[in-house]
Amino acid sequence: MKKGFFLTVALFTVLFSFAQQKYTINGTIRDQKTGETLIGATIVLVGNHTYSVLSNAYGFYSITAPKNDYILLATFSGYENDTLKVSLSKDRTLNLDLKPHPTQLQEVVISSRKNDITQTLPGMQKISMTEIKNVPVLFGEKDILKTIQLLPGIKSAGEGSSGFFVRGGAADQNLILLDEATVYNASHLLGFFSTFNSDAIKDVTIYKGDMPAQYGGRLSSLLDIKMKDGDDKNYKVTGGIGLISSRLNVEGPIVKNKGSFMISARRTYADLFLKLSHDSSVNQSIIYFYDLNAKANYQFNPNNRVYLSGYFGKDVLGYSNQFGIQWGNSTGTIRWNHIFNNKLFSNTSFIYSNYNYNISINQANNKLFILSRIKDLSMKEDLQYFAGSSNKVNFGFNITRHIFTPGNIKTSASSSFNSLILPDKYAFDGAAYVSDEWALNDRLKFNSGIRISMFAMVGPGDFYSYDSSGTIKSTQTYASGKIVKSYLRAEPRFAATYQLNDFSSVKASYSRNVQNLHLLSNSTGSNPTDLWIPSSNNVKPEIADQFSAGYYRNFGNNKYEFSAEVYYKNLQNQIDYKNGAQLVANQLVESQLVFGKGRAYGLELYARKKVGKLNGWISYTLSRTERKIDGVNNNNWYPATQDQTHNLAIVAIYQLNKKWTFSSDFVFNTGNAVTWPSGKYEVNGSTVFYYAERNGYRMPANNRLDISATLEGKKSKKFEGSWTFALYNVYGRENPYFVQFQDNPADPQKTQAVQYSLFRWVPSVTYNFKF
Amino acid sequence: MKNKIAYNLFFLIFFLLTGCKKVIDVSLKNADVQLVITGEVNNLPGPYKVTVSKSVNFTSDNNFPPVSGAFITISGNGITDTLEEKEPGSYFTHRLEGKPGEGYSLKVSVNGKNYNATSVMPEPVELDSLTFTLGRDNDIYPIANFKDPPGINNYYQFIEFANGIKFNNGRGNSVFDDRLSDGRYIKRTLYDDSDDVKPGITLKVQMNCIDKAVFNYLNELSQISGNGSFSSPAPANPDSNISGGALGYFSANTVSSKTVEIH
Repeated sequence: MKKGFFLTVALFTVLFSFAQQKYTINGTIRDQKTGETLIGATIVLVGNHTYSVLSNAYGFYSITAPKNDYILLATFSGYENDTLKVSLSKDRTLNLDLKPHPTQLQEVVISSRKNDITQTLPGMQKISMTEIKNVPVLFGEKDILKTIQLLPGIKSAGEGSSGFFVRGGAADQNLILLDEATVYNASHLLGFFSTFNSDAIKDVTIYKGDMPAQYGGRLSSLLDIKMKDGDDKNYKVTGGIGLISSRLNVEGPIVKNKGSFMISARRTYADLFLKLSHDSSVNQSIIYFYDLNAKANYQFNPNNRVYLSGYFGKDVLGYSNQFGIQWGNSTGTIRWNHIFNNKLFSNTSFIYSNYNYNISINQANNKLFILSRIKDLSMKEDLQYFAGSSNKVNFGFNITRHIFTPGNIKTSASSSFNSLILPDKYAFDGAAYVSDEWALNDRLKFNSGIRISMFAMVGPGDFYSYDSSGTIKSTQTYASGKIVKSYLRAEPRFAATYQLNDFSSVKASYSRNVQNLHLLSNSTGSNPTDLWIPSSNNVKPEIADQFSAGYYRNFGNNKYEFSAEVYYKNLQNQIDYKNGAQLVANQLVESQLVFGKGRAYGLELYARKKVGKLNGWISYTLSRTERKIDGVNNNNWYPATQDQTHNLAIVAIYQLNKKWTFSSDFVFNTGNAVTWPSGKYEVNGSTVFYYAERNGYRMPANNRLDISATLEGKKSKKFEGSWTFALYNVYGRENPYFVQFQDNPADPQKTQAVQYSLFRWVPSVTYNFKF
Repeated sequence: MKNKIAYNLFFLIFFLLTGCKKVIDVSLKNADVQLVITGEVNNLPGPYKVTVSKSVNFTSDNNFPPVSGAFITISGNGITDTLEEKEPGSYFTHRLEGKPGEGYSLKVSVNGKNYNATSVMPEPVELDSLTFTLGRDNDIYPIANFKDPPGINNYYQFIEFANGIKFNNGRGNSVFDDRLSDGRYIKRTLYDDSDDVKPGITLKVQMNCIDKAVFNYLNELSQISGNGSFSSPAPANPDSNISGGALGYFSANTVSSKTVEIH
């Protein structure tokens, strides 16, 4: 109702605006040196009034203002400002090229900082590749997913893990997009590395629940990752050699100023070191991963541009030739940017995404091969209409076909196991959306949208319903293409920003997200064999409603920024598992599930200094995350595993001189909620522990300091090189990873708790080069 | 099995990366004392035993107080046998004979409360032979070889003995079901702590055919005991087939075993 009112008001504003003589400037904003389009750059027209707009995901902008003389100011973090006089007396196209700031760390970008207080959705954060490059991480392999864990409201799934939890959501409630394609398993090597090779990445934005209406399908966050387009002016090779992995990135023009390509590859070689070991258990082990990012784009004419991008990654883990497991994602995107006119921008995407794993056991009389896969084909149409000086309308639709292969087992005749093909499952996933960004006046802005999502599970196949004990109640057979169960859900989203003065603002928002794909995981970490299942006749769509509000303030002439946000999130139809749930190769896997609800609330504080030799940020989160699951803890609310009361991260980067840059991060967090025994008893002569409640205890708190130093080598016109030395866990704290309870081996009359820790003092050195 | 190997590899990675462990002090809450009942009827000649004991606090010694004075019966084959307490907390049948295919029900009355359980003894499956395989570092793993009867669900329990004594610490216990192996000739590698399986010992492997509820219980028990790990789901007490709120289980099962000297 309220929304209808605002939309009507918006419409009138648009109509009234025709009364005045107005003209439109549009164009694309790029990096002057490489031709990379700049995402989220600010373009401001300063005259009697000020009109501003952000460039979209393809660097396109359009701004409409009354006839007048203006100063046009274009700004982007890490680039020099561009100022020019514009006499607006007709529609015109103006492409802007910004010059990168020579020393990236000393960036002074006042206007774009100011925009953080006015323009963005609450809970949205961008992190620059420069920051990702400088934050020390495990093994010296710069990593997007580990760096975002240092932001408020985002928690690590475990030490060294690339898995993360956003505002009390589960690990599978994050939508991770790489050039619009869903990445189903974003980790390599059981979670210690993320699948994203930072060399190939241009832009990283995370939305903590309040995602634009264009996106949906996950409850707690959207991590939107955009690959580099490639330099369209010069050929360039960059790379790095590290202790356990190396990277190489090649980019250059296809046709100068019209098209470019980028290919980036990475491989770990820890397994080569394993070969040197005399221990047969080590030297016969196989552990490595590789990934490949590739992208090409070509501009046919000023109004049409086509992008091709792909990702391919694979992990291989094995022991001699007896046992092996491989898993990986592959994605592909074809996008067509079309500018209909100076106000209407369109992007059409065709997207392919695939995640699979296979396990092979190859013993003399026991050969076994298991395959599991999820495959998506999508089409997406997104339109942006820069309606007037105060309105921007986004609308579009998308449709996806999912094919799930839950498990195919092939065995040799002498194997202990039968061959088994679990039938493929099919689902369609679609959505249509419209959203409007509307500046009522210089101070008040609204961002309202609605997304209608549809999910349908279709035949062929047998579909079961279960009674409360999990035994089959009835079976129904559906023909190919027949709808088994469909869900239509409306997802309203609304945000308002009120600018109190030049340096502070308040924001408030509400959003609803719906999730129709669910990850079944028997482990707290990332496991390649975790299984994605669709909503069905037994599994209802998960729903999250989030309310959030925030206060944003810049200090010291916009050199410092501060924000405080609060959120409350309510989660419905959350999934948990029965005791001893059998999730592997089980056609009746839905009978193993129990359902419940969740709630999460918290306060996030964030202070940041972006300017000067010393910069960095402090983030602190105070939060609570709870679950209420049928049959667990007598149906009472209890803390979820990822419930960490306090979470603190401090990142500092200090540029001593042109040669040396030092950086460090410090983290502290309350331990996860865990289930520990409250007694013991004896069964068949062995000690068994008695558990009184789920997650009734706390792991000890974690803290850790990491440091790194980067030494820039001599720069010549042709060649640049740098060394990065890093030390993870400087003071060697034994942070608890898990605690095991057991009989004391030295005194069988006693039991003991044994704490396992992972990493103490992990040094690394990396050489990076560019020519 | 594949999980076990993956698990080992997982650990291998950790220990390469300077993993370390230490004993810590944790302050654990004390829950109310729980009653624990375990009982078995099998296809070997009786008497069969039921034990009743109590749980203790985590910090106490591993002395689990026996519960005396319980009134216990097991019914089956048309008779009801009242058990006799021959030592504190241990109760024995007089004349009951376990037969495959028969159902048995246990009734325990103690301190004014009643606990009941039933279990059906499956048809027996013979353990054909024991063979061995060498793993990493020449660890020896026994392999149990047997033919799974086709068309029915079978559940197996393995118990290992070194020189006639059960392995310590709950090791040498595992369960297996034929969900993915129905009708196969099964060569089941017993991945248990290899410290116990070494040259010079006489190894006995006992294979019991158990019913579904007992399998579920023992399967959940194995998930929370011994090397339960960081990646396992939150531990919970196994679902018992005994009603009335006692811990433990009651099983009617068949027994087949093989003994081999390891050289």
